[in-house]
Amino acid sequence: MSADGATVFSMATELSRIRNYCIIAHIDHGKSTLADRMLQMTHSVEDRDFRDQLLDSMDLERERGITIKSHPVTMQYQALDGMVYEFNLIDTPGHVDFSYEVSRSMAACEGAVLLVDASQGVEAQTVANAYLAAENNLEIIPVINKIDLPVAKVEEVSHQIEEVLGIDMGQGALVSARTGAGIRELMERIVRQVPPPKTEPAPCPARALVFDSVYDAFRGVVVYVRVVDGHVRAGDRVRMLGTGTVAEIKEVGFFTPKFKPAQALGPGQVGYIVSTIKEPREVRIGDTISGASGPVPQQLPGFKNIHPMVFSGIYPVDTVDYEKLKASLGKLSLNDSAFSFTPESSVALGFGFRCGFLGLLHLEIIQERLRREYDVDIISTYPAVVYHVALEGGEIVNVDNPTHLPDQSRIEFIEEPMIKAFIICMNENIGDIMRLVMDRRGEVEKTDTLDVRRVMLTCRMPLNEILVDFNDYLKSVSHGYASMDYEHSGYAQSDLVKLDILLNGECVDAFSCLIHRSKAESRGRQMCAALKEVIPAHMFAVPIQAAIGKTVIARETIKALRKDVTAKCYGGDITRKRKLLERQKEGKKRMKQVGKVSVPQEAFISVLKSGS
Amino acid sequence: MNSSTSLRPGAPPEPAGIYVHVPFCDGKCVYCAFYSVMLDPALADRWLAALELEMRRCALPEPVETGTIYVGGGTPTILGSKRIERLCSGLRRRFPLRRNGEWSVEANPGTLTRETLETLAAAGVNRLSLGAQSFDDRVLLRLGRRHTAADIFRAFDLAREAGFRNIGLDLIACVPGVGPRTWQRTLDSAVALRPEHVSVYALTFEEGSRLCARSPGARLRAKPDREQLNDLRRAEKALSQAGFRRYEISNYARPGFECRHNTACWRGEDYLGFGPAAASCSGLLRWANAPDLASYLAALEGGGDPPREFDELTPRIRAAERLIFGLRMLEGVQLEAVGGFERKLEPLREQRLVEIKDGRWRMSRRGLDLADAIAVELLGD
Ligand SMILES: Nc1nc2c(ncn2[C@@H]2O[C@H](COP(=O)(O)OP(=O)(O)OP(=O)(O)O)[C@@H](O)[C@H]2O)c(=O)[nH]1
Ligand SMILES: [Mg+2]
Repeated sequence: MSADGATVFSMATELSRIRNYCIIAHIDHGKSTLADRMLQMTHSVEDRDFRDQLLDSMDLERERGITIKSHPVTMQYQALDGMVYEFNLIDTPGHVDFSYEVSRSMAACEGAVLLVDASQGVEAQTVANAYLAAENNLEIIPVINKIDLPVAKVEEVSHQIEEVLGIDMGQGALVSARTGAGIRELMERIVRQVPPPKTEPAPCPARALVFDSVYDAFRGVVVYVRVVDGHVRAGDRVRMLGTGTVAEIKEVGFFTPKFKPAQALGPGQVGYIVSTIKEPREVRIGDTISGASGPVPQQLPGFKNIHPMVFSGIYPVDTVDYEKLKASLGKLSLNDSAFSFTPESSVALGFGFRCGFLGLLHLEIIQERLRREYDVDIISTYPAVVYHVALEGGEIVNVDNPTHLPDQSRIEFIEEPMIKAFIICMNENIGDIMRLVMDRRGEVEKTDTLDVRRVMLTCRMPLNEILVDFNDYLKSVSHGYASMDYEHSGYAQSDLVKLDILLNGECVDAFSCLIHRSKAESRGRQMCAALKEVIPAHMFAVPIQAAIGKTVIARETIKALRKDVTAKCYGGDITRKRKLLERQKEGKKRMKQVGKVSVPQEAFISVLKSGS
Repeated sequence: MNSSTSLRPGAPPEPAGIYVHVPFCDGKCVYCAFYSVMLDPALADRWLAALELEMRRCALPEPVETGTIYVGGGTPTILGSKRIERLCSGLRRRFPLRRNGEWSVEANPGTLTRETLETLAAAGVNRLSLGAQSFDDRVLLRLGRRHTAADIFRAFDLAREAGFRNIGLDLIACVPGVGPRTWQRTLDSAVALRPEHVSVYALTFEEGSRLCARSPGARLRAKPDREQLNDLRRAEKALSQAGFRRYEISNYARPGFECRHNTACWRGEDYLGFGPAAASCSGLLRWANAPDLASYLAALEGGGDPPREFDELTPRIRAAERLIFGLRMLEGVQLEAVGGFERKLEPLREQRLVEIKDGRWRMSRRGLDLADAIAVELLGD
């Protein structure tokens, strides 16, 4: 039946033999490693193609050893009952910034393998993801992983799963994703416990949910779908029910995990669609794809709109890269619907974009991907949250860029976004962690005992305070044992001031930030000190000042260069010397000019890193 | 590309300065990044023959007069009087020195003999550049020099006796661990010898030198800028009190004894270099022989040109170079010679780094300390 012989998957696996599930867990509990074992057990990947955490295909994922994107893959599992099942697995990221990825993947599944590291136990994202799976009506299979470790505490962790999550371990499995122990048993559980997909009885109009998309250099816009009803095939004319876009399908296929063309995708299946749609922005994640003619079916539920919570300006280092940056941001946002961007400009940095992210790791990852995958050199500004600024007369404006803060005299008050943070830690660290929370202007609202050794603190804190380095501090005071999850929790009025940095008397807008008054001075001092380290000496002294309005609250000075001269310069040296000087000139050109001062790119990064 | 195409076609045979690089030494000083190998008599003979071949391959008519010759290295004086005699007569045949021309040879106090000096004088060499570096034996040792202060006095007197009326001394300033007293004594000794010319170089940590090769954190680290400037000011004071005039950032001379060969290079005039690692400049074209004796010998012995790296300047870069290196001289650069650079010079003038005096752009005192930073400002469009 296949046209090219390469089509290994039949076009319509019987519903009763399809199992769609995702693997969810706290960061590093072994999801991608477990996926590896499943790929091997199902012979989905040739031995010579195998590598650890195979699904983590982006360079950045491999380098950092973390999953950033959800990765779907289709496998054929030969079960002990003699039947072959089609498993559509989605490996998900564990980091809190990417929980949106997890929730979208869940829309394509009926089951979830909830993994818990036997040496770490239930952590913050374990709890968050378990709730998310329950909300999505997924069948949860609890799995304790890393049982090969000498420090594995299987019994204790089983207890936590039952007590904290209320999930019966009788339905679960004990595995080692490293050694492969228990994997067969888990696969059988998936066959037995994950319900097959449901569909409308035929004939019915085709419906497929768009749960992700990527921009592929060869295929263009590739849309990831979960077919709910009917079939989609190459040549079909389809309509996106949300946007109304009509297009013709050019290719459908499965993830192996590479794109593998197939004749059709049938009900319950997970795969991809390439169509005549060229423009990344014509695709909306969460949209429903249906036939272009015939009755218009009901739209599938789709996804909650998520709003980026952290904003930062991204600028090309070289102004000629503006268009390239814009196109790259477009392609990136296709693959990452949680990311937004709009044009803005800065006195110091020129034309760029205000970009919205879910958190700081998300921001870092996008920046890295721009640099590597899209090869644009960028500078980004200090991250900021969205403030509600109440003006006299009752008007309220949203400010996501500190430089756009209205004049202080017109401001009645400012509100900042708050979060509810759930911190799981060992009993002996409670004191230190409470101090840390208070230092970040937070308060501990509730303390729940999880088991004899651990508690969960529920805290209310300003989002701004956890942006940059809170997690590092949390890990360091708890020796790596505390973990945090958070949700947004409205706005609260706060005594915020705008902190400006002046170089040689000129305000560098890219360095401005809104900050609580009590912290302005120490932050100002840190920023001045950090800048002093990275800005090179000039032929004149360069004062660096931190100011609130007209009041200078911190100051450093970069002393004027006193001596910069080559002693010996003869005939033979002239060309060499000139080339050396030209290289210096090139280096200088890459710096940003703020008035007469040249500011190296590192300055923008080091200021970011100089947090408390 | 060979050297016959490297001079502007149709241009009159301009009297370019001639430079010869002698690539031999009897050891390596810690600060030196110039190309040299240990002296080997057989190699030295082959080098001499190859040098003659290279000079003959030059496109200029043979013979052609020149105003200045400079023989540097390496250590020319370790060649011994036989080879020096041959080198000089070869040069004289190919590039006879004009009347009142300047012919300099670099000499090391440790290897300078009466015989060598007499050979040089007889050959027509009329200027000696003596690598004294310091008059403190401990400092000399630290710098990896293979001579003592006594050697300098001896060599200097021998040179005078041999008839040299134009002798320059090189000194190294800003050596880490050398305090103001020791440095002042070196300056006093230099002045006491009554040379015609003194060069004062702040010690640099050149890539390729042994100073740089030493592991980071080794005991020699550059003096702080403030101390370096103090050393250099001290030198300027001592030398001007003794009647020397500073005419370039690192060079001092009694009036009329400025090194003409170097001055011509700084003014952007042409020069032709011979020997491995030697550089040449002809109009917009630059080239340098590869710093490698073996390939130099092989190429010339095989009837070809030595391996070279060429560099063609745009008129704008050439102009920038002239300005940058011209400003290193205290005479500065004529106003009309800097067409197109006023826009860059003006802000520097506001910062009092450059100034206009007697119809010329010059560096201010502070500007001279910041010549490289100023050069970076002047480069580019
Ligand atoms: N000893 C042992 N180590 C394991 C096991 N499973 C995973 N690991 C190790 O745990 C680390 C994290 O594994 P991953 O598979 O990348 O974890 P993950 O849950 O996918 O992580 P994120 O995608 O970043 O959330 C790696 O170093 C794995 O080698 C196991 O069963 N035993
Ligand atoms: Mg992973």
